[in-house]
Amino acid sequence: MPILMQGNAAIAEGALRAGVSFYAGYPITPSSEVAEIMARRLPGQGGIYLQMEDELASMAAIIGASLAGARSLTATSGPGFSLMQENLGMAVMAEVPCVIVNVQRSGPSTGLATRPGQGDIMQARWGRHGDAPIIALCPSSVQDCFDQTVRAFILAEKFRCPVVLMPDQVVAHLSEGLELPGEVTRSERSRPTCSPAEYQPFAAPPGEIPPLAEYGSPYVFHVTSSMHDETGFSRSDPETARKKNLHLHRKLHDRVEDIAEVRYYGPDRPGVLVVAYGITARAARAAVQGDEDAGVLELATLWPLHERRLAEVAGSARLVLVPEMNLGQMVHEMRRIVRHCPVHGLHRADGEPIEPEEIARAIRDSGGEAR
Amino acid sequence: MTRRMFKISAGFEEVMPPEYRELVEKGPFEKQLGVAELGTFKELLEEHPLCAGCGLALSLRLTLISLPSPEDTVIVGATGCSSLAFPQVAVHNIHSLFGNQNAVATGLKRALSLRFPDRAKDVVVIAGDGATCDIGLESVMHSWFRGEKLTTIMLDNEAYANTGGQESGMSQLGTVLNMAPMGKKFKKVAFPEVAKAAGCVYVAVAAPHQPRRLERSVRRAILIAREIGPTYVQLYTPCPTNYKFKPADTLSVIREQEKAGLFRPDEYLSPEAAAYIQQLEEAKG
Repeated sequence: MPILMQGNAAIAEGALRAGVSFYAGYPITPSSEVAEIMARRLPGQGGIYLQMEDELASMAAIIGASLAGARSLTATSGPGFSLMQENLGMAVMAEVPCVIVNVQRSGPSTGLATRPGQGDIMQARWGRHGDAPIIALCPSSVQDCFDQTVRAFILAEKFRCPVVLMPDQVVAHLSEGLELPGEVTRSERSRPTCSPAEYQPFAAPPGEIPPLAEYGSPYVFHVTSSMHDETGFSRSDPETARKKNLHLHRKLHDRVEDIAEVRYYGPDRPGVLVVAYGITARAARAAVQGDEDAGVLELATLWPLHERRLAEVAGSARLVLVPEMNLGQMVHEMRRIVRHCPVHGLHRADGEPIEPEEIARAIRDSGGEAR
Repeated sequence: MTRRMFKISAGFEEVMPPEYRELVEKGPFEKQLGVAELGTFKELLEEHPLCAGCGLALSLRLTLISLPSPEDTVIVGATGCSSLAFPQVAVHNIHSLFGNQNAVATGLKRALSLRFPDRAKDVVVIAGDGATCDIGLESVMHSWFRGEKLTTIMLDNEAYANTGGQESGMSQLGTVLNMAPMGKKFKKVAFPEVAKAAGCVYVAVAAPHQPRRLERSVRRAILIAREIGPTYVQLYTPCPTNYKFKPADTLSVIREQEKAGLFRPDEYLSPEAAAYIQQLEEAKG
């Protein structure tokens, strides 16, 4: 029996069932419900809930908690996500598993606090200085909010990296049916099997993820945001930097097929392919309903991008359309990946979601290309 | 930023909205008005979208009436309930980010002193308790450490009201709020004491239940900031929406909290600030 639930509540529920044990956050619309539910429920489950003084502190606190072994979570929105970027870079560099919910509102800056946007797509990927690859997931329904939160914790531990869950405000504040599973698969941290004396916190064969010990255990180790080698201690020689940066990149991009989830709805060889994510993907599915020539490819994972699968599905297309609630972000990635046919964008950055009719009209208006 | 800016250009008298014409004719610019003259002039804030009974809205209105030179004032605000009212305020104002207000004000004040070396330009920061004491603490404290000649006014409603009522550092110990369902776990920050320690030469605590006292605090804070150094005014502005009392009870809530010892009007002047105020009062006769 499905139960009626809000997207943010489903995120909180998913996190609680996934075994989150530490939450630190700061109030911000439209994500505050996640914190409010955590405040009510986490302490009763033996977890720790903390309201911090700002988003810098919230992000820093979940890094600390994760290094002490907790499954940790924070939730925020645009302005807070901007403030978190420096610490997010620290989590990438020190390979600290953690989950960050960024409920996307309309920007820039304080923007439209209560209205939806999808303008943080490129920020999630490139918002930090230096190459700092990350995993970003994008749910499109309340069920998806729950499922992808559970998945976020699994990916964070498996790949020892921060995972950003990026619902837009519509999905986060939408109430619809949620089928709660009896049990969920919980993330497992890969712990060292060697003796404490032999432990090196960043040592692993190429492409593998180094096991992570916990602070407070007999495994004594050092973590730094500076460039470091396998031992965790700072080193600034080019070979160390090259190896570390390649490792951070390759541990995600070489395993993209294990990480990236792409959902395709439509005919086997679509003439028109709509590539969308979040609530816009649902508008797209409504827009192409009954159209035997058009399909929708939903990016449930934004980063890393499953380029091979995208190129494959788009192979038959005469037109690729990318509707998004920004002035053009993912469309540039699609133009890079799809070279054989036109890739059109359909953009809206006024705090209003894109309607199915707008997408249907864009397909009709493309005329010769689409038909 | 003088009265000249609030003049209607020739030929436009008929097309300007009546509210603007009224502001030009009956506004408080260069008139030295205060709360005693309430009702005799066009106020800088009359209509706003804040809740009925909002203690912050009333305090903001009284604060604006108390500005010694509205024509030479720039207000820097931050995200929060007050930022919803600022677009309706007839004084230059900036809605900066959430917490950076004292840093923006610093740049503004320094640049104004370069551009107008012979004219006092008042930069007044007006922000909520979350913006001042939590997220903006760093920029607030460092503006005080550096001795910036700014006035910082906290509209303290003891909560994050605009996001739906979460605890702030200024909420009272034990208060149940949305992100504090078991009650807040630490004491209200003694921010006036922090201000003194950080270098404020004038610190006052007031509330809109005593408009004359509020006016004196704001006026002194701005006059002292012009000449001597950073000043801080903390206004207790209860929130009927999130503290769930009747909008008509705002002022009685202040009195009750005062009786309970949870709010205490206060005023501190450094010796230098006290001497300056005495000098101003003697000059006035």
